[in-house]
Amino acid sequence: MADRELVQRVARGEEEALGELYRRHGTRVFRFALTITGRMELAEEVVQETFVALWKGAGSYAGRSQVSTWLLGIARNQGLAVLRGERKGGRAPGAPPELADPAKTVHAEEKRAAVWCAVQGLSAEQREVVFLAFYEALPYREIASLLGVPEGTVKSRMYHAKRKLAEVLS
Amino acid sequence: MNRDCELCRELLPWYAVGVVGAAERIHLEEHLESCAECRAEWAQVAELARAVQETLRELPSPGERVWGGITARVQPGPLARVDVGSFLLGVSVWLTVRGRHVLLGGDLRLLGRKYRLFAEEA
Repeated sequence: MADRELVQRVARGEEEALGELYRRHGTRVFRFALTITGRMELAEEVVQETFVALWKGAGSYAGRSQVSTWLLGIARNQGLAVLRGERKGGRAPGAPPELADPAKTVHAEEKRAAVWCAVQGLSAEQREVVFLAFYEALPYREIASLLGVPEGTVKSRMYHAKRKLAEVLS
Repeated sequence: MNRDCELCRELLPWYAVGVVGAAERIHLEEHLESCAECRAEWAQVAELARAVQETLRELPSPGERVWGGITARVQPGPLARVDVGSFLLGVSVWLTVRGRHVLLGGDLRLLGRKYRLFAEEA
């Protein structure tokens, strides 16, 4: 069943459809949220808020973008809201994500940890562009539409993110 | 660095993941053939894109408690509900609030499973 049809079913109150959308998109939303917030517990909070927002607002989906992109847009708003709350509330830092895979070499793990730290060293605006381009493989036009900024801004954020990442990782 | 180099370098991250338009790709590839500096930049961007992709794809998935938290929040009690039949075979008609909408719905219960018959705005 297509994502769009599932959203329509969610709008009619079908929990099974919400569960299917979660199975299809929960991980991408979580990883996006983790990239934005940098913390597991905050990313989990963002995923919850995103799918609850989907449950309440499925009827407002206009079908102008892919459901996955629409969900990432919701997640982004939720992520930024959570980050704003964090700054106000001053919660203690949480545990970083567990990147290690025992089957992989120590060298590869060290490299991934270094890349993750470098990504987290970017601004939130740069991190979201990096995720949407490199993980989601979204064209810059779609990213601009999702973020509500001009295409030139997306390219500029990526340009600076790329330079910063290259500096840190070189 | 001329304007062609700038345009090329702006697009390289998206070229690395294969999402530039056909016309842009042709222009970019022609430029890369003729510009050694941009070819060097391309090598760096391709490596960076690969490293970031690998890292993001190794990020964990959400724990089971996340879905549990979602279901707990999307199952508010109905405003009114009428059940007929039993757990094995029965029908429910309910009235609930979803966001700004009041929904009237009906479910069929069959052998412990629930099937939505209808859900309409009341």
